[in-house]
Parts: sequence; C-alpha cells; structure tokens
Amino acid sequence: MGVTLKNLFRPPTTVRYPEQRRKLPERTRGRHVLHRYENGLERCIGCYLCAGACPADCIYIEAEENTPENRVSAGERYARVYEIDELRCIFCGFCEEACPTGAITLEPILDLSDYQRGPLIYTKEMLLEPPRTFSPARSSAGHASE
Amino acid sequence: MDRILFKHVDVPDINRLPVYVENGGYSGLRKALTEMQPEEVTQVVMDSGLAGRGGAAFPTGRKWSFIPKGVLPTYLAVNADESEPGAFKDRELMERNPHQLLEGVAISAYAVRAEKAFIYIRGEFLYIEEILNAAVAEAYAGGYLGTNLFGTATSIDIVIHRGAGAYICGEESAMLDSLEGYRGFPRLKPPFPAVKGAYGQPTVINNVETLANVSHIVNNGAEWFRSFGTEKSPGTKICSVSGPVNRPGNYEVNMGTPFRTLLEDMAGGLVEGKKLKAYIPGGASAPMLPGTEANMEIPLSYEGYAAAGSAFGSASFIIIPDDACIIRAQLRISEFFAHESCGKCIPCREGTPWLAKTVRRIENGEGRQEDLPLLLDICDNILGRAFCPLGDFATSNIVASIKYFYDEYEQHILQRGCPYHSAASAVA
Amino acid sequence: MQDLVSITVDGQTWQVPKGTLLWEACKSQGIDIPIFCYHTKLGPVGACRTCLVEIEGMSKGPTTACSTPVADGMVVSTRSPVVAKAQRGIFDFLLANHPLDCPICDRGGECPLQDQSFAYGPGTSRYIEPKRHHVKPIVLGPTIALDRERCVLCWRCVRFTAEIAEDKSIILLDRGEHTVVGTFQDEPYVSNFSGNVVELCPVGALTSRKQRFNFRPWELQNRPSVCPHCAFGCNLNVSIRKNDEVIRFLSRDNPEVDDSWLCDRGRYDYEFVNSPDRVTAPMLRRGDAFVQVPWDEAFQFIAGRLATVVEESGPDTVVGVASPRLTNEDLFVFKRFMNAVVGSVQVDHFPRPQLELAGDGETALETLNSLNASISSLDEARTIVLLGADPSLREPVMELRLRKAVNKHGARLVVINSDEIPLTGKAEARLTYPAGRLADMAHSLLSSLTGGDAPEDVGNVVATYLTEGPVAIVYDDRLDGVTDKNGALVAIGDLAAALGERVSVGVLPLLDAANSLGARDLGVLPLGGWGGSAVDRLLGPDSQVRAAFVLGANLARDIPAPETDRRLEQLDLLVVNELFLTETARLADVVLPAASFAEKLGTFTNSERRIQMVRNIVPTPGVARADWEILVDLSQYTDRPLDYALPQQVWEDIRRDVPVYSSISYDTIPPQGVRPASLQRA
Repeated sequence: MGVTLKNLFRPPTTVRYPEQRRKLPERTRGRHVLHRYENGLERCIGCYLCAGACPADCIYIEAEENTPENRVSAGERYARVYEIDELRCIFCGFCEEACPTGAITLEPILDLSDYQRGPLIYTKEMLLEPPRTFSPARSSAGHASE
Repeated sequence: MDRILFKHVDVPDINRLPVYVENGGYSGLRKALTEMQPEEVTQVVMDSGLAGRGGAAFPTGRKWSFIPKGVLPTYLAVNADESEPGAFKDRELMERNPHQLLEGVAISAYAVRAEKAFIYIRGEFLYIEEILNAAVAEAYAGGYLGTNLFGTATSIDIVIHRGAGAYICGEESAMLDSLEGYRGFPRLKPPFPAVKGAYGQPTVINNVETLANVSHIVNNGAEWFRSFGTEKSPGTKICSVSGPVNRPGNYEVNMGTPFRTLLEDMAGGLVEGKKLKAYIPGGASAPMLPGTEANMEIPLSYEGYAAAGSAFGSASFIIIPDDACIIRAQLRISEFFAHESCGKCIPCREGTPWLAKTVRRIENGEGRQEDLPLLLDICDNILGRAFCPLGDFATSNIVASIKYFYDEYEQHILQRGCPYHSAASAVA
Repeated sequence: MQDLVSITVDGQTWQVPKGTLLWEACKSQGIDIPIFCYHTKLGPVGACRTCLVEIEGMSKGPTTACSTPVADGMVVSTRSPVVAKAQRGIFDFLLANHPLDCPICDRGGECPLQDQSFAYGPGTSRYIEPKRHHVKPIVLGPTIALDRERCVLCWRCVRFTAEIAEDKSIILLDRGEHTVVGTFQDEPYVSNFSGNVVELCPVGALTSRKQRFNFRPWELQNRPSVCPHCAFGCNLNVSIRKNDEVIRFLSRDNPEVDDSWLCDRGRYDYEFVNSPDRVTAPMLRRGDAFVQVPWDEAFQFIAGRLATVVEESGPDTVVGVASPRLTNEDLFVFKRFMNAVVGSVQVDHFPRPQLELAGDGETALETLNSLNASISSLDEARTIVLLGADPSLREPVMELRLRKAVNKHGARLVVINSDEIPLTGKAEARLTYPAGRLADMAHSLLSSLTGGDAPEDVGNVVATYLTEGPVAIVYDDRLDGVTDKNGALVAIGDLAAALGERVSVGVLPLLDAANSLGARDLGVLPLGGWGGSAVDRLLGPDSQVRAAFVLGANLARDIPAPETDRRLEQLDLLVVNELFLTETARLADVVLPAASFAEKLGTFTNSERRIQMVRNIVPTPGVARADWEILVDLSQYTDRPLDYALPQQVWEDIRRDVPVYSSISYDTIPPQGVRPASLQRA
C-alpha cells in the first residue's frame, strides 16, 4: 500500500512527445550533422575517411575539386555528394572519430521516421547545418589542409 | 721561408709568357714531354708524396695511376671551383701566376695521356677567367699548348669553363655534371671518375694548387720536394688567413710549421685588443678549435689537425676573436651550407635548413633547452647518411661548436638572446 | 646459366645472380627495405637514402641497398639498431616539410610515404619551424597536376621523361630546399606517356587531372585485364569502385610486352565502359525511332526477317562484318554463325587493310605472318628497321620499347619513312622517299640486297645495317597514304623473305585494333582468304546484299560517303551489335546491346600473337551481353542452333580449328599471356 501511494503521487515519467521533449544527455549519439566554419565554408573535405570507418557502410561520398569560382570547403576538395543511409546507421560514432576536420558529429536528434525508405537517405543538404551569421573577426578560422 | 708556388709571385708581369719563361717557366713541361714517358712522370709525382691540396689530401700520383690503360680518350679536369668559405689560395695562384698552373696542367695531362684538359672555374671568378684565357692564348701562340708540342707527337688542349656559382660543383662528380652542361649533382659512385668521368671517359680531377706543384716536382725531382714539409705531408702549403688579424692573406708555409708561427709571425697576430677565441683550420667544413695554447702549437699538416680532432682541409684559417658570438659564426656557416645544398639527397636537403633555422632561433633568443640535443641528433642523422661529403661538412662545426662552446649556447637560451654586441661580434 | 652468389640478409642465406642490386635481391626474398628514388625500371640514383642497410665489413656505416650490387658472402642487416636509427632519421627529414594533408590527397591509402613512414618513421616530428609552402595544385600540363608541397624529390618523373620517354620535359628547378619539380619556363607537359609519372610518383605530388578526387584507393579493387585500344596489348589493372564503376586503368608490368608503361590513350580512355549513353537493351526500329524490346522479341524479329531473305535470295546475300576489337571467342562464334547458321561465306572484319590482294599479296602476308617476332626480341636485335611505320601514333608503347632497345641493348635503329617521325631523332640511319612511294623504297632495298641496282644511300644502309642479324622489321600493315598498297606489301614481304635467307629476321606489324591478328588467324575473311572484301560487296554499286550483321564496326563513320548511309538504310535487315548508338547503329533495324571488354571473358591476340585474357570485371549495363552469347541465343530461333554456354567451349573449338592456337588452353594462359609454342624460339 505504501508503494502504491508513493507511486500514485509521483509525477509521470513519460512526456507528451512530440509536443514535449525529454532533455537528452549532451553526448547522445543521434542523427548526424555536418558543420561549417564560422566563415560559412563547409568543414567536410570529402576525404571518405568516415565512409572508410563506417562498419555499416552507410555513407556514400563523391568528392570534387574546389575552384576559385565555387569554393565550398576550406581545402582543395569538397564533398559534392554526401549521403547517409540513416536506416543502416548503427550510431556508433566511428565517423565522428575518423573525421580529420570535425565536420561530422552525432547530435542528440532521435526523431528519425518516415513512411518510406527513400527520405531516410539523408543528403548533404539535409545534414548540413545552416550557415551562421558571418563574423568578420574570425573569418579566417581554420584551413583544414594546414 | 721556403717558397715553391709563391717563389715568383712578386716578379712583375709574371702572368705574361715571356717573363714566366725567363724565370725558368715551361722547362718542366719541356723536360716531361721530351725526356720522360707518362708513367715516369706519374712515378715522380708518386714518389714526391704530393697529396691533393683541395682538402681531401689524396695522393696525387696514386690517383693518376687509377686511370685504366688503353681506354681513350682520357681527360684531365682541374677543380678551380674554390668556394669553401675562408679559402682564397687558388684565386691568388691563378691571378698572379697563371702559367705555373697551365704548365702543371699540361704535364699532368701528359702523365695521364689526356689530350684535353678542362679548367672548371668558380662562377664568380669572371676576371680570373679572363686572365686564364689570356694566358692560354699566349701559351698556344708560344707553342706550349696545341698539337705536336716540342716536336713530339703529344698534343694538349686546355679548355676554360666557368661554372654558374655553386659550392656543390666543387665536389668532383658534380663538377663533371656541370661541365657537361647538366645540373650540378654529385654522381653515384662507383663508377669513380677515374673509370667513368667526364663524358663517360676516364678522368682525373685535381685541385689548382696540387697541379701548380707538378712542374716544380718534375724540374727538381721527388727528393727535392720531400725536403720540404713533414714525412707524411711533404711540400709546402698555401694557407689563407682571414678574420681580425693584422695581415690577412695567403702564406706559403712548410708543412709542419706550428700554427702560432702562421698566426703571429706571418699574419701579424690579432688586431689590437682582441684575443683568439677559436679558429677554423680548414675552411667552413672543418670543425673549429678553441684558441687554447695547445691548439696554437699544432703543426700545420694533415696529420697534425687530424690528431687534434679537426681537419687541415684546404688550409683556410678563419680566426674568431673573443668578442665574437660563436652562435652567430655558426649561423653563418649553417646558412651557407643550407643555401648551397644541391637538393639531391634528403638528409642534406632537409637537414641543413633545419639546422640553420634552429641555430637562428637560438641566436634570436627563441631557443629551447631541447634544441641542443636536437641539433646533435640532426647532425647524427645527416653524418654518413648523406649522398656526398657536403652533408657531413654541414654537421662538423655544429658538433664542434656545441662541444667547445656549450656554455655560450646555454647562455643564449637562458638569457633569451645574444649577449654580444651585434656589430662588434660579427665575424667572417 | 648466370653466376650465382650467396648472400646473408638478417640471418637468411640464399643465392642470387651476380650483379643483382641488393635491394632487388632482398625484395625477391620478401625482405622489405623502404625506398623512394629507386625504381626497378629506372635504376638507382641513391638520392633518397631510405634504403640504408648495414653491410658487414663496410667501415663507412650504413650503405644504400639500391645502389650496391651483391657480392659473394655479403652479410647484411636491414634491421639493426644503426639501420633503424638511420631510417627514422631520414623519415624525420622527409616529413619535416610534408604538408600531411593525407585526407585530401589522392594517394592517401596507397601511398608509399604513408606506409613506409608508418613502418620505419618516428611517431612524431620534432620539426617546429614553419613549413615550406607552394601554390597548389600547379597545372603541369593537360593531364597532370603537381603538388610541390607533397613532393619528396625522388625525381622518378624527371628520370622517366629523361631516360624512358626521352622528351626531357619534367626537370628539377632551383637548388637545395627550394628544389622543385617543374617544366622549362613553365611550358605545359605534353606527352603521349604523361600518365606514367602519376603511377611512378611515390607520393601524391603528381596527380591525374582527370581523376583528381574521384576515388579513394581503399574502396577500389584492381582486376587484371588487357588494354583494348591497340594491338600492342599492354597489360592493365582495372580499378573498380564498389558501385561497379570502372574508374582507373593502372599498368600491370609485363616485361615481355609493356615493360610497365602505358600510353595516355590506353590509360585515360576508359570512360566508355560506364557511359550513360551505353545501349542497355535490344532496340527495334519503329519508323524513325527505336523502341526497347525484350531479347525474345528482337530475336524473333531478326530470325523471321533473316529466313525471308535467305529463302528469297539465297544465303550469300547476307553479309557479316565484325570489328577486330572483339575477342577471339566473339569472332569465332560470329564466323560459325554466319557459316553454319546463316549459310553465308560473306564474313569479314573491319577495319582492316583494304588491299586488292591477288595471289602474291596473300603470299606476302603469309611470309610476314610466318616471320612474326616477339616484342621482347627487339631487345636482342642488332638492327631495327622501321619500314614506313610510325609506332608513336599507332602503338605508342612500342616507341618506348624501341628507345629501350637502342639505349640499353645497343640496337641500331633505321628509320625509313617519307616524313619525320618522333623516333627519327633516335635513328642511326634514315632513308626518305617521296610521300606514298613506299613500294619503290622497298624495291630498292630488295634490289640492293640481292645485288641489283639501287641508289647509293639505300645501298649504304643495306650494306651497313642489313648484313648482320638479328634484324627486326616493323612495318605498318594499314599502309595509310601509300599509293600502291598491294605492291608495297608484296615488296615488304619479298624483302623480309630475302633478308631471312641471309640473316635472322623478325617482323612486327602495326595493326588496326586490339585483336586484328586474332581476326586473321580465325579467318574472319570472305571465303577464309583475302580475295575480295565483304564490305565492298555490301557497299558496292551493284550490291545484291539484302541483310547484314555488323558487330562493333562503324562503317558509316569510317567509310564516309552518302552512298554508305544509303546502302545501309536500304538493307532489308541490318543488325548491329554495339556499345553505343553509333552512326552505323542509327541506320540499323535492330540494335543489340553488347558487352565491353571489361564485361566479358575472352582472349585477344596481340601483334606478337600473344594470347591474353580479358575478364568480366563489372556487370554489363542493362541486359547487354557478350557478342558471342547474343549470336548463340539468336541461333536458337533458327533451325540450326549453336551449342555454346561458356567461353571455354568456344576456345576448345578454336583450338581444333586454328592449328596455331592448338597448344593453348584456358587453364594454361598465365596472367601475362602466352605465345603459341610453335612461335617461341629457343
């Protein structure tokens, strides 16, 4: 009876998802995010190391060379195509560890669902964080090749 | 003092053929060509104990005897690429008495049956090229060069070639590359130049001072030559003395004379108010020695300096006074070698600039304690690993200066800068 | 038998031929010694100093293994503390100024600098000074990009252009730590062999502009194959990505053929395999357009139309033309299909020398054929005669072989051509003749040889160069621009025969396509001989031909005339097996999707009659199939079906039919191909 009473007045452990969201631990390994430098250039240099490290073989990349007219990342090369099959991903975080530029991280984003398989192959546009406001003071930050 | 090479150096117009002949010139060539077989000339030179004066001190007669018989044509190449910091003896020999060299070249060419001799001059010696060209033209006109000399079947031609100014081209095989019109890179040995040298033919390469001795040896005999110098280093040697001394310049000394005589009697000692801190006996590639009393008494000879842990080399004495910064002197030397590395092999190409940058850091007060073992380890990684001796040369003074002047390095590191007055401490 | 000496390395003792370089000796025994500057085909320079080893009794300390020949009783250590220290030191130097941009470097993953630093280098660098920087990448030429920061200055590229290709295009500039690789006055590096320097480069300094950033080495698989572009038959490794994309050709050393070099055409012309324009399904013409249909429908259509034509006008109104780019298996089944299924003798291959070969022309070809020499015999030849042939354009890698024969083996090169050719500068003697007058020149040579009249210069060349064997003759079998082709061929044949009576002679032809010799050996010719041409019969003015099977041959492009198109369009049935919708395929009634060389198992016969195998490396696009499979399937719709399921079965029939191939079975073809036993001389 004591147990019953105690639990009767305890606040519920469930939350009203998706309106309400539980605060996840900071280091939760959820969906991938591709980051940018402060100056807006992509950190990813299309080196394939994440794809090489991936035990589930869920990352597909095609790289291309930066040109003066079309500079996408800091180094010589960038990922023209960057796709992650989130259905195959096992969220091990090896890609994050393999990345030489800190371009890819697993963020506490867990709500991955859809009615079809196709939309769960995340393209670069879906993975990439939006450019932050340009701050001239730190615009030269980070050249990946150096 | 006995003089061989500088005997006629003060005779006016000795660079002109008639004056040279008047003073007994070209008699050695006449004697060799008309009275001696090539093998006899080689034998006399071998008996005289004449050793290469360029720095390596290899017995000249033996070098000639390596030329294979019957492989023709053979060539003689004269190394006049005098670029060792501190050395300026060949320059004076060619400048003052060019015919003495030409006579020696002609005799030596005869000894190795070469009909063509090349004199490879350092790129900066433009005016010496003009002097030599004039002398060669005179010698041709006078019948001392060309075909059928003195009525014999012997023909000797001399070609003067001026390089483009690279220390590496003083290395004999790099010199041949440069002579042939290629980039001056030392060649893989074997085959040695005596077997496969210029244009793939057997080639003898000798220093200017070495060959200048040859006419005198042929004229006066091996025994006469051996009356000069020491048992192991016969003959005389021209020593270049530079630095803050009263009379810097070239001095011809009997081998075996103590260094004190050269410095104090001949060069007149250090200038007023300076004391000897250290000196380099054989050009920038020879390890420096501190100016102790014992080091003042070292006999000027190859064996004398080898015993003292240094090298007589080209006998180019760089005097470092007590108000000079050793690290700055070392920096000059290291930057020289970094600048002059040919870039062929990795240890020298990457190692020498690394040494120079590190020494510069120490001199600028940014040195770290771990830089000293680092410097020694880089030296160890270059020494004996480099393709040619140039890499080894770059390490010798680093090792010596750290060995003898460790305190001064440490002072630079601890005080974060150079304790010496910047203008007064500049040397060399 | 060579002299053997015994050496001991790291406690292992074994025997090696005298004069072998220590590094090679160790490699043959599986002992790894790091190396950058040395390359088996380029020889030692001793510049990189990474191959230091300790040899007992050598006072000077560690010695370079790449430049030291073995000596009897030599005792070597490659792992002693002194050696390990020396190697660590060298790698410390190597990486001091290296940009360490492996993640973006194309070489990363198959980089000798990475691998060897990992194995022999120090874990960390002590270098804290600013690194050297250069502009990157520098465009060195149309095909090559240069990254000077990554360069370790092994000068393999410099030596390749100086010693192998001999264009001396790539040079070292500046001195000491400022030394860089470049070209004279920044002129572009243009060469037929530029791709080889990328393969030679032991780091990622030289990269292919075409392939930059296209792949990472670890996702590739290398599969052996043979270059499909010319009859020289260079060996390849085909690199494929995991998505079955052919992404790169690498050389695969075959000392008997390519000596590990490839020409740029062979190296960079691979994109056709993955092209999105490939024909992927059978297509039937409906009016002006093609519609894709299932195989079954296409076969029924062809069989029906074929039966009608044969019934109405007889089987000889059906003509078959195959390309000599097809494999022996394709060609053999094609011939059998035409002969046995259709009943027509009108088979031919195209392109081929269009000769009006009467009896003596055929004899000449037979003579030349019987004197067919091996490529490696060029190295033994005392004299090599280029008779109206320019291998630099036709079979480029032969140019490198010829240069090697002259430089390394002292062969004397005689260039007989109406024009300057790239090899003219290498020639010890040359003769010229007015453009097109090759026949006259060959006659003069023959006449001089047999004691008749000849111009003085011809007489001199014959007296000096053709009196002493072995002589190798390279002639161009296509005879482009020659006015009297038949006469020229007869004269060359007679010359070779006459020469063969005096000295030992070998003949190497320059042929049209990868398998031209195979097409001839299999007799893919009208009536099995050279008289008449099925193409002429097909396109001739009074052509009676009503149906044609064209396999890979592009008649409409190669015989450009309005008449060609008109004739092909008029046919009652034109079946074209093709990779692409070529000019000819556009005129067809049925286009059948064929497999490329990387998609089928089969054999090529190169110009020295070496049988080499191509393999099915990637799947065919769509429902495409090998040409022989298509024909076998098609025959099932007729009343005389062929019975082959595997290329091996086809080959067994080839062995039975073609005596020269009888000694070779699929199981015994080594990775580097094999010449028929009857041709291998002692």
